[in-house]
Amino acid sequence: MKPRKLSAPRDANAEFSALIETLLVTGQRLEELTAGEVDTVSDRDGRTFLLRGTQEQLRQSEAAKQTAILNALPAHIALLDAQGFLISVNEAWRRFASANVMPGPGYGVGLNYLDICDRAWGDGAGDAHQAAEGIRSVLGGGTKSFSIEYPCHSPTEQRWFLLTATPLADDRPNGAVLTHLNITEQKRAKDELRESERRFSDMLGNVDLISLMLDRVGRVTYCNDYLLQLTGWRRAEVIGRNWFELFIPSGCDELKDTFSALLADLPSASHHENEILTRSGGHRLIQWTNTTLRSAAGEVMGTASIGDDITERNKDAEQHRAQMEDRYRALLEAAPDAMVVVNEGGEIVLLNVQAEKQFGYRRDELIGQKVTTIIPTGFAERLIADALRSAEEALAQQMGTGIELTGRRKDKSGFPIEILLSPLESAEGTLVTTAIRDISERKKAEAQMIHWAQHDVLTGLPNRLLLNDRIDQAIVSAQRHGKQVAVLFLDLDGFKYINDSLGHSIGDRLLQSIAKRLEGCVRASDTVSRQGGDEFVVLLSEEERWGDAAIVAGRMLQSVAEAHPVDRHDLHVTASIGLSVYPDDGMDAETLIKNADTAMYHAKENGRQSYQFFKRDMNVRAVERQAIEEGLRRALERREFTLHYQPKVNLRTGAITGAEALIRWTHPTRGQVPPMQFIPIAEECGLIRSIGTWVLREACQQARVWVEAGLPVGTMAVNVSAMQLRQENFLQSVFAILADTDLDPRCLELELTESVLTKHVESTAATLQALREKGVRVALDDFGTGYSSLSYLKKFPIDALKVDQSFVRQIATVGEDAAIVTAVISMARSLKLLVIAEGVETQEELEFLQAHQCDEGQGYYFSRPVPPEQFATLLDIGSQPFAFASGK
Amino acid sequence: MFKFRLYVAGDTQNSAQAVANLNALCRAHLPDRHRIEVVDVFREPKRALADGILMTPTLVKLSPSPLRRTVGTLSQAQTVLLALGLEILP
Repeated sequence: MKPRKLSAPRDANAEFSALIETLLVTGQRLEELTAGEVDTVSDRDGRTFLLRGTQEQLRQSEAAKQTAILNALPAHIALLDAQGFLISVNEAWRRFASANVMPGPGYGVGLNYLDICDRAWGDGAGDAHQAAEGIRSVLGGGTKSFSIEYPCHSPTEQRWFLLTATPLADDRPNGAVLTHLNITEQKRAKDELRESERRFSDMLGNVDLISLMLDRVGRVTYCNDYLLQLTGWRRAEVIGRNWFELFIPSGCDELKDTFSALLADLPSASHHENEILTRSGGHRLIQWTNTTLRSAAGEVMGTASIGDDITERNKDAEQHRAQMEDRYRALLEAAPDAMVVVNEGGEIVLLNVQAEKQFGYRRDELIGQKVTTIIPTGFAERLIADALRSAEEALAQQMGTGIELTGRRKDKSGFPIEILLSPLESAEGTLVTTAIRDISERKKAEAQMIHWAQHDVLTGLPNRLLLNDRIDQAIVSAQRHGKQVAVLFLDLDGFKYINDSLGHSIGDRLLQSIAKRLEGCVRASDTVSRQGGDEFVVLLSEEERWGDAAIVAGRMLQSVAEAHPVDRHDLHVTASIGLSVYPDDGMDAETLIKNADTAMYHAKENGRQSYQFFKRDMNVRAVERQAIEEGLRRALERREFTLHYQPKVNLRTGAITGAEALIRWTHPTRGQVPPMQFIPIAEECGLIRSIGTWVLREACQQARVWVEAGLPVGTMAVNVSAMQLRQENFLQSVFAILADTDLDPRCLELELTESVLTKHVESTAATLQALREKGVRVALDDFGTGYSSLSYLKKFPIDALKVDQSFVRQIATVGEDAAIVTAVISMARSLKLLVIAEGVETQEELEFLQAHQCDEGQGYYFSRPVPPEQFATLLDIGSQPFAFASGK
Repeated sequence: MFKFRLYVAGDTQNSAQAVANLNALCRAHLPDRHRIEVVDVFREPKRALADGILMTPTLVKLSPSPLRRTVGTLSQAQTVLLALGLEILP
């Protein structure tokens, strides 16, 4: 091809264009002139004409492109003309046709597709006829599109096809495009899904459970009637709809995540609960169990779920929970202690009215606050943390054992508390229930217990225990500083007369008055103590000179002698004082007191209202003691002892529950000797053993007599001294007496003093245990005057506590504040012991004891100790000789 | 700098060939010294008319002057260079 040079001058252009025009008009072939190198020419109006060669090129290249595209498609595509003749087919059609239905040259092109379908016979004939019908409709312009699924099975496999016919042009019918797609795989998947749905629905169609299947995009492919019943939808309105759009309330997007997780076969998605919407907009709470639906090849095709409608159950559970919470709250409110429930963060989530009262906050001021607001101790937080961390361990450790801490009220004041923690599992996680008890009262009582263990109840003065301690201290100090210590033993003259004539109450108040006078005579560093009865011992520490003590003694005598105005009486009483001085008269408290006592005795002998220093030759006391001891030795033989009985009374019913046997000694010349005088001597010289045995036998015999007489004697209480108890054959002796007198051991009660328990603990406990096993009861006498401690008491098998009369006396002097009595009673109750109050003398005391749930009482209010014949009358009166209804 | 304007008719065969040939020619003989503007007469028929283009493909050398034009597929490089009045170093 030779290029033409067309570099004509401008004026030639017009000529040239005229030529072209001519050529076009004449139909000359322009291509020849341009050697085929030109595509277009333009006329003078700018109209561009494609040269014919170029037109042909363009047409061919367009057809080639379309053919390439058609051939690249996997679908079998054929073009039909208006009569149904195959005019063109793509590569896929050609391959399929050659391998299957239409073998032969042209791959079916030129055949009439409608004829082929019409002529079909056998299995697929129905589908073929239907196809022909549909295609005719498309060719005739009746339908815009037609499709049919049909099976086309080869000898080797089952196949399904989708035939679609669409018109070539929309406006006029001039043929159709057929596409023919192998849908075997999709079809199989669908059938399998349908089959598994069928199995599923057979199984679950009739139960009261929702069964539901969704395809991979969440469309409902199956649901049972139950779901429809529950939601009010019709099946046709549900199948094919997106589950999440139709049934899930808005704002539940996380459910789609669950669905994705389920499709991914994550086990977390196999169970969940959610609410679904009913047609009318109601909500039902459903508990789902989910699984995936798989094709035979193992591919996840959708999900299947079983749903249980738990709406009602949930309501029940909700109600139950609410009910439980109400009960829990009621329980909290009813608790006597302050209850505070704390969460894991140490914040208060719940509290009762007692807590409000105790800490002075309103409820809303504490909710959400840290527990340290009310229990500032860091320890409390740690305890709560511990309780949470190891709930069980903490529970085991802390149940029953309170921890004492300090609570803080709203006004910032602190008070002692005892807290008990217990973990509580709840819907909000582990909580800690904290019971907080205000133990101010108990602390006070405890402090008072300690105080009264060292002080005389009546006068409030230090008692012998504290005095001994102070003397020992004073001696240590005096040694260091080279000074002296003086001990003054003071005894009232004629006090017994006042007591007997005016009564205990007047006597007690006189003693209180004297105590005050004595205290007024000494320095603060000195100690005035009461030894019991009308005896006082005064310690003068760090005496500078020998005579100083004498000056104090003189002052005391004078002070005591002045009139004591008590209850409209002006009481006059004098005293005698004995003095001993460290280091001259003794090196320890015991000796100093004993020698001062001896000196006092001398002062008394020498005429009353005087004082006397101890001298080595003072032995009068010893002589006196000797006389009593000799008397005691003969007393048993001479049958000078008798027993009197004092009733013990049930404070609720007034019934006599038993008797206490009390020894009386009538000396041939001295007359009645008080037990206080002879018992200590009998103990010192060992006579107590035989006297004790006599008392025991006598009391048992008497009890037996009453039992035989049909009198309700109850228990016979007998005092047993420490020395007796430690006798080797004590148990045998008791058991022998019981056997001899034929008394039921349960009718015998042995009364021991606290001091018995402080020595030889093991053997004492063993002895008491042996008694208990036999049925003999054990009571602790004079409780509160010795070294009483709970830990001690717990070690011994004791049945009853007898509250010392000095405490009962306190009721009269301090009334409701008689904390010691209440403390003793509550202590005894906590040990599950019977509490017996001794020395009940007034109505006031009785009422107090009754109010504080004291079990039994004993004292002049009911009866003095009386001889056996008189006691028998008391027993004979009936079961409630002291009925309280009348006030007496 | 050589400035060319090539008038073509879409992607017809001769036009497409002319574009290819011009690009090859410029790369070979005028590297970094040419600029080519292609104008499709189907898209801008008025411009072709205004420029007096009667056939496609037509190549116009706009600069350096003088203005020259040639018609065809530009398959003979030497002929084209001559027609455009370009001195080519051997």
